[in-house]
Amino acid sequence: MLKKEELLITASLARLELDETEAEKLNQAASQMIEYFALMDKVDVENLSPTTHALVKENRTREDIPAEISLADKMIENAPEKEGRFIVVPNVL
Amino acid sequence: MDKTIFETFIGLEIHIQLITKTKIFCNCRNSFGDPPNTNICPVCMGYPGALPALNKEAAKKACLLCLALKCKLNEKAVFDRKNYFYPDLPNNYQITQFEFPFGIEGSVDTALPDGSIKTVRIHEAHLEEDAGKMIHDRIGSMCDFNRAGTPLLEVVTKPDFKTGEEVEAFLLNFRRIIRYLGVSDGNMEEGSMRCDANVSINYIGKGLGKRVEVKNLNSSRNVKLAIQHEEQRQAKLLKAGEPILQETRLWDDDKKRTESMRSKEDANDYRYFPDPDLPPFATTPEFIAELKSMLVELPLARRNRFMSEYNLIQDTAEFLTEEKDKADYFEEACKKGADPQNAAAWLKGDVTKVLNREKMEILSSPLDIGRFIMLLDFVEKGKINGQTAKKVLDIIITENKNPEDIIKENNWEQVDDSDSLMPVVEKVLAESAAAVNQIKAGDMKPVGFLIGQVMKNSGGKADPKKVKELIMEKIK
Repeated sequence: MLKKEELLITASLARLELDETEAEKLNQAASQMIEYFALMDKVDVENLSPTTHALVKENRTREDIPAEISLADKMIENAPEKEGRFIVVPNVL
Repeated sequence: MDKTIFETFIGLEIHIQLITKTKIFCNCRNSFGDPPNTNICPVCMGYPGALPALNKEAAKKACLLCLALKCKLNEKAVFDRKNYFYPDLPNNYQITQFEFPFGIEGSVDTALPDGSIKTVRIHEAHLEEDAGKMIHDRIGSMCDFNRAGTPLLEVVTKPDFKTGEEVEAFLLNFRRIIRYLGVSDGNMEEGSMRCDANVSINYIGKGLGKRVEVKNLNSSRNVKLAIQHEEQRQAKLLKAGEPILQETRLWDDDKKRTESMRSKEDANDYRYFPDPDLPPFATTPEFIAELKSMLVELPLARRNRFMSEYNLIQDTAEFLTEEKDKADYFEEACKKGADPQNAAAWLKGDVTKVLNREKMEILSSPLDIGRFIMLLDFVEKGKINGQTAKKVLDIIITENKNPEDIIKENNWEQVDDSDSLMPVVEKVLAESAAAVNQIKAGDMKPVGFLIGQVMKNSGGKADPKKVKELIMEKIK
């Protein structure tokens, strides 16, 4: 079972506000998921190096050449709130 | 702080903006000073489905610096996502390197003001994306993402520094190194090089103390001042038996002190994990060979070589090797026949004075190496004297002319034939009876004055050595 504090820390990192009932319900569901993933603990990985990527094609790089077309203006138009060319978000300070 | 009781441990985290044409994971321009949100695209704006691809040039420059810092390159570098909630990066995570950065376990030598060499170990160096800029006001926070996703290299040192002076010297040297390599312009005032200092003090022999991170340091001098301030502050707390909080503090440049930043309630939990969108980067032997061909002699090594090879004093060698362009210029001039001592003296003195006044850099100034050598040669051969040479130098730089044309136009060629100088000498001597008598009585002091008078009367063109000869001949 997931500890309640762990759930609340995770929730706060995800910017979720949970009331008592929601926390209780989510804790059950999350615990179930974790137990399911815990099956993997049984696999012996002693001498294996961690796999970070399934399809390994290394060094996929890009030349350092600027794009000729710009979507900047369209993207600014997409912003729900703007001030000149700035994109405005709720005050975070 | 009483250094017989306490010792200080300082480690640095230095961020440098790499010089590239485009951002680290997309082909937006990496340029400073454009209107807000000019250089943005679906990748750096975190649009769903947009895929990042690593800029080869950024990887090269990052690894080049790693090699210069004597780091081992990880065979396989991996990019990770550092998750945090702040709107300066639209993805809600920063792409960085966590477990497998490009460089690990390096070291840098720095010459300290007392002449000794300090070796500082490098913990690691990793490549990451920079965040955007924000302006906060009452209605909201205004975001400009031009800088979001530009390549940033973070270099982390071990806590090997003992004083603020060591750190200041290190930063100046580090800045020289990155400029020599051309990976960054290293301008701390403009933020293309940023430095945070981790400072802890403890009773001698007790090991590291509680670590305090100091931010907002925009010059190497301020880094030194902030460290010295922290030493005093922490020593006072320790003496009073009060706890030192492990926290982040900001340097207040007006008040010349550090102040506690609002401390976060819970410890940071960035939940790093490898970015599935970016494959690992293998530093292949071919890649490393290419980098090695790009390495240049570093400033300290070059300074030492200048001292032994050209027989320069440390101060002069240090000056000439401050910037790679200047050192290259000097060596090129020597190779083309300039006398090293003479060339160094001119470069350190009048050339720098005029260039600074005109706000010019030597390589892009009208004083090309050919003109510089010609000027030195004219003085050497006695075509013009030193005073005239200074005037010629000034005109070369301000009017972009050849030294020989300047001398011809102004009729500045040095006069050293007795026939044309003698009348001037005679005139001066006739007007300076007192001085002449003094010399006759054995007091040589007025000789300089007489030479000066002759120079003045000859429009500065006379050869001072010849003038002296004539004066002495005449008085005897």
